[in-house]
Order: sequence, then structure tokens, then C-alpha cells
Amino acid sequence: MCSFSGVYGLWGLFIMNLLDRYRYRCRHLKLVPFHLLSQLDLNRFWDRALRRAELPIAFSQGFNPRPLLSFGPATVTGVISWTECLDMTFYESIEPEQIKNLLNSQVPEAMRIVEINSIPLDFPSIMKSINSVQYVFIFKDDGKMSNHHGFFSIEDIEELERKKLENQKCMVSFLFKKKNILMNPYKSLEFISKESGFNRENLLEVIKQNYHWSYSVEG
Amino acid sequence: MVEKIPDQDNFFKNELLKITKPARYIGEEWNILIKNPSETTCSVVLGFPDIYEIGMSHLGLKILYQILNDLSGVRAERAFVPWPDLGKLMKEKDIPLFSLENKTPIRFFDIVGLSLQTEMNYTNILYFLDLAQIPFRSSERGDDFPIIIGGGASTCNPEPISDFFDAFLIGEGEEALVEIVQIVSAMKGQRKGDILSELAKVVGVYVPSFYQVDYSENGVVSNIQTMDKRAFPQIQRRWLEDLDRASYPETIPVPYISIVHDRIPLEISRGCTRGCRFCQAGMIYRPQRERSPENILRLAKKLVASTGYEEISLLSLSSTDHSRIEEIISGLSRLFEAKNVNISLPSIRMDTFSVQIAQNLKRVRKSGLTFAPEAGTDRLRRIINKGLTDQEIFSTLEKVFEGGWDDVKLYFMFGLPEEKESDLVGISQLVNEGLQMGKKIRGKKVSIHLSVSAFVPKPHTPFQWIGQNSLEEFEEKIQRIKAGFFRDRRMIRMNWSDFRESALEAVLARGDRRLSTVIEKAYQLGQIMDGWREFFSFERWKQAFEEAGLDYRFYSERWRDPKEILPWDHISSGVKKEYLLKEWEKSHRQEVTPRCVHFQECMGCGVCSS
Repeated sequence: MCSFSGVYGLWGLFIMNLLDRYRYRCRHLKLVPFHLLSQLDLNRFWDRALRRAELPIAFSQGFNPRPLLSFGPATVTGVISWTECLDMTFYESIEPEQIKNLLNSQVPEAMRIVEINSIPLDFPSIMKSINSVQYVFIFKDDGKMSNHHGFFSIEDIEELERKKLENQKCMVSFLFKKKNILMNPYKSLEFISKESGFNRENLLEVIKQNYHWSYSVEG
Repeated sequence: MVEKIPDQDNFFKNELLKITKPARYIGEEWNILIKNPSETTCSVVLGFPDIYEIGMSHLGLKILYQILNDLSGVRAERAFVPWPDLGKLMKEKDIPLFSLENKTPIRFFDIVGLSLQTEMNYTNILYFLDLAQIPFRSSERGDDFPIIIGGGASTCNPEPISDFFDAFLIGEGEEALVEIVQIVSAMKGQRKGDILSELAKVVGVYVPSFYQVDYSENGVVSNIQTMDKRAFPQIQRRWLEDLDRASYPETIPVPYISIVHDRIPLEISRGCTRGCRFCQAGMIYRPQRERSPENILRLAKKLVASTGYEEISLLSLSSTDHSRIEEIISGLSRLFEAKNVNISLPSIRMDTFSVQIAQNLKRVRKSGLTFAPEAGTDRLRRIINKGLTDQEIFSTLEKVFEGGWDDVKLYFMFGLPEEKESDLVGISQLVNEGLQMGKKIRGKKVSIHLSVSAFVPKPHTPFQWIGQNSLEEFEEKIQRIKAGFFRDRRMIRMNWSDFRESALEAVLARGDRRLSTVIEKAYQLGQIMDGWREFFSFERWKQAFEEAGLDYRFYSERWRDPKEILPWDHISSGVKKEYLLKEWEKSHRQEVTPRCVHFQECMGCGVCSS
């Protein structure tokens, strides 16, 4: 806790907020059953986890102070996500690795932070940093499973451009109303750099590993 | 028997996608206590016959959850009724209602403890049992079903639902529930009748099947007698002597979805010193007991650290009546201001509101202020023993507006005993003058959020003998109140409770055992979630009454004779019936009973005098 606030009261807090700001960008998981949380739930989730971890999150000024958190494009409820993005602003500088450990001790395994980096204050927002969003669909073949562990082939992995995201509503209805075709899609975002550790192949690996609990098929 | 729900993984991964707010059902909240079923000898499910958002907001559930899980060999888990969309799906797929922790179907627990906070949850009790695939009536359940126990405020007259329960715990559960669990645990495998006989020896436990109720020809209760020698002729409510030494959780589950009371509940006192004559809570939670500021600050620190919540709510029936409230609020705001943790007071009396309290409350963020004048005139407020004058109301509103608030929430009731037209007009006059005052002080328009509900006579209160207004009278009175308001309705936000719901509440609150048939019929007609406007159907209830051959007005609108045996006479809240009668008589004379302050002028209600 910064001693400024105690000495100068609210004015001190105000000055401190102008002077000391540190920004971090992280990537976290959102696996079963947390795929059922909505974007609003995520906001509360991280707000409370940050307080439990006693991390120096900065607050917005004014009538109703809110923690300075900003998210990437909202993930549709029900989509299992391998890459959720989150920017946090602190009033004290902390080693990214330490933030990751502290936060991961306060959140479930299936929501853990897998990557965190310090970024400059003027760095573009997550929305501006993203160049594409990938969704993986698992198809069901007339109630019978097809070969290749439940999906036809590698070509079935769709790569959607950002423009298409604006059309998300009809995608959602496609995802959830024709439930005989589709089970939970997996979402991953590509952002910042290609060296983030994520690539198409390891996502496939994850799905294959998890396939046995993904769903069961009768007959 | 399989102690798991069928196709569980698919259910949580895929089936839940078809319904609204699926995150209600996943469990896995932060701080929940999951014990391995194979390492425990007694299992309790703390059930709440309403949805997750309501049940998770209830303090009692959090306290008991912690106490029971602290016992070695005992696991306590939570279960709520699902929203009807999931209820339908569960019936279609034959998925039984399950606990959130281990996803164990309810019927495999040793004890089902249902929290009964309002009569409007009675059909949901049957919904809960139905989804849990458990027969409704105690007499239809064999030894292999769990022992089903009810507890909470509504159990001060449990008669309308007594056929559905094996036992009730009357009063506070911190100590008694532990005793119950120990008996059930020790007697596991024995006949249910034997276990219930043993439970009946615990002070506060009521086993309805040990009592027989007879009715006279005109429908009133003629006799209540015990059928089992071991059962007490009258059940005494359990209550804790010392709140400061009572167990209170230092961690509570933190939900992922937004619930009704989404904050840390910190109980600063229990019971109320005031004795408003309409108020059941003020009678049945006596005497008033306080938690010390030291203890409150210690708990607040622990709870904020373990939950990460951004708000603490100081719970009590009348927060500003705590003898050291200013110390508590200033201590808490000093501790948490820098951490952006907000402090809120849900129940402030207008005559004890102070500017200092207000300033401390709005240090972090300004939360709304709510007051309950209850009635429109000094005369009626004396009759109901609210003990609050117009002058006090206006001087508080003045402080509120001068303190920088632009809106305020006020609670009123209509249909109170001895109510006259001037009392109804008084409500609108009070609001109008408040708005004018606010405009003058703030220099701009202020708004008043008005919540008006129909009076429900409740058992164990001085008004328990009173007949409720008819639906026609309620309708007429609403029109009279509305007619008195300013033309500019933008400044008044009105929230009317449905008086037909209040009529049903009055029926169920003061009903007898014959109502179990009505409740069951209403459920079979499709009635659930009575507390939710979109599901409440008075027509369906009327049909249920007709089919059962009963008149609902007998229970709501009939004036009871003080000599009459009341269906709840064998349940004692500790407050003597003669005291209630005396209070009722005092109300005729507009005589005010002063607040109860320990070791000073005792009013002799009977709770703590030995």
C-alpha cells in the first residue's frame, strides 16, 4: 500500500493515480464449468480475486470508483475458452510472475492465468491488438461420431476474421439452436504476439486430451 | 442405488447451455466447503425453497453451513430450486435435484434442512421435494428417505406445512441443529419413528406427527394434544444467550453470478428493542442481543480478506439501535476507505439517523438510504407502536437532503388496523411535502422511491387476531393513496406489492393443518414460485381452495376471538399470549409501549424474565 494516501488523504490518492500507473496484460483460461459464466460475471470474478490477492489495483475516479480492468471481446456464454484477455492497471509495480502466482492462488484451476506481461501505459487496447479470433467446432455426424476423435478433419477448424465477429448473434444461434450439429465450440484469441505459446496444434491436442469427457454418444 | 446424477459431465457441459443463467447450478464457488462423502458419517443438505440468487443471500444458511462443516464426520451442502426452465429439463431427463458441492441427489442425504423464510415459498417446498424425487408427505416416506426438517421465521406457525415435514426446529439453529445432527448421526440405520422420538426431546424441536389437532363444527381448532408422551406439550423457541460468543463464519462462499444481496452480511445485532405491533420479527427474535464492535471489526477484516467483496452490509432489525453503532461505522470506514470497500446499513430508523452516520456511510460510494415510516399519520403510527412523528420524519428528510442525497426510499403499509381515510391521505401528503422540501434544499428536483404494501396480520404478534382487509377494500385504498400525489409523477417512483399476494400470505401465515391439502392441490395445478409476480396466480389458489372445500377468507379476513385456540398455540416464541393481547388493547387506546432496554423498566413480554 502506498503511504501517499495516508498522508495526503484523497488529494494524495488523486496525485498518486496520475503518477503511478502500471499496466499488465494477461491471458487466462475459461474451462468447464466456468464456460457458463457470462462476461458480467467475469468482471466481478476478477475484481474480487484481485482484492483477495491484495494486489494494488487502481480505481477509476469519481462518484462510483471501479477497479481499472479491461477485457477483450466478450466470449459467448457456453464457449470454452483457451484465451481470455484481461488488462489490469495497478498503482504499484509488481513482477508479472508474482502477480500470476498471487492471482492463481485465488482462482479455480480452470480459470487460471497462463500468461502475463507488463505493457506500457499507452499500449493499444486488447480490442485494437487482436488480429483474429479462432473458434473450434466439434461436429456430430447424424448422432454418430465420425472418425478423427469427433471432428472431421483439421479443415473444420474455422478461422473467423474480426469482421465476422460483428455478426456474432447469428453465429450463436447457429451454435446453440442446431444442437444436433454442434457441441461446445472452443474459442481462442490470437493477440499481441505469435510467440504467446498458443498455436492451432496445441489447441487440437487439448481438445483430443479432453475429448473423453466432452460428451457421450448413445448407440 | 446410484448416488450420482446420470450423465453428469454431459449435463454440466452441454445440457445447461439450453437454459437461462446456467452458472446458478455449477457450484464451485470460491470458499465452498467440499468434503469427501466416503470420509463423512452424516450428510446434511441445507435446502432453500427459492432460486439460487435468493437462497445464497440468506445469512442463516451461511452460518449453519460453516457450523456443520466444522463438525468432523459431517458434510453440509447446499441446494436450491432451479428456475422452471431447468426444472422442466430435469423432469424430462429424469435428473434428480442435487447438491451443489458433491452433486449428490438430495434423497441420498441423511438430513434435508429446509429454510422457511416466507409463506410465499410453500409451493416451492413441494417443487423441491418433487424434483428431488421424494414423496411429499412425511407419512408416505419410509425409513430410507432423509429426515426432512424445516427451520426459519415461518416455523413460528408451521401448521399449514406440517404434513410435509418430519420435524421443525423452532428458533435459532446455531446450537440446536448441531444437537439434531448428532442424534441422527448416532442413530443412523434405526427406525425413523425412534429417531424422531429422540429428536422431540431437544428443546425447540417440533415433531408434528406427535400432535393431534381437532376442529369444531365452525372450523376453528378445538383441541391440540400430544400423541407421544415424550413430546413437550408446548414447544419453546430456541435462542442464543450471547451473540458475541456465537459462531459466525469468517469465510463465506462467493457466488459468480450476481445475487440479491451480493455483499458481506455482517450481523451486528439480533432481535429488536422496539416492539412494533405489526412486526413478527420484532416479536419472535426477542430479546435484542448485540455483537461487540471489537468482534464486528475482527470479522469484517477476515471476511473482506477471504471473499474480496466490495461491500459490507451491517445486518440487524434496526441497525441504528445498536448501542455502539457510531463506533462500529466509524471504525469500519477507517479500516476500509482506502480499500474501496463500501459500508451499508439496510435498516435505519428515522428518529436515530444522524449526519455523522450518513457522512461515514458515503465515504467510499454513496449508497441509497431507505426508511420505513410505515403509516401516514402520527395517530396510526401510535396504534402500530412505530413511535415516530411527522416532525421526526421531516427533520430526517432535511438531514438527508442537506447531506447531499437526491433520492430516498420510503416504505409504507396500508390496510393497517383502525386505518382511516386521513391515514391514507397522510401517505401522499408526507411524500408531497418531502419532495417540496428536497427541491428547496437541493435546488433541483429530488425523487422519492415509494414502496407500499398491504398489511398482513402475522402469528405471534399483537395483531394476530385481526381480520385482514378484503381484496375490494385494498383496491379502493390504493386508489385513495394514488389520488393524493402530486401531478408530477416523475419524482415519485412507486412500487406496489400485489395485495392478492398479501391475502395469500395472510392465509398461509395463520393457517392450520388443513391447508396442506390446499398447498398440494395448488402445486398440482401448476403453482410454484409464489413470490415471483410472473408465476403467482391467485386464480389457481382459489381453485385449490374450492377443490379442498375451504374458504380462504376464513383464514385471512375473519376476526379471531381472543378466547379461540389458535393453530399455533402449542408453539411458543417466548412472548406470552397475555402480553400480545395487552398490546392489542393498548393499540385501541393509541398507547405507545417504550422500547425495551435491558435492565430498565421491563414491559414483561416474558422472553427473558425468569
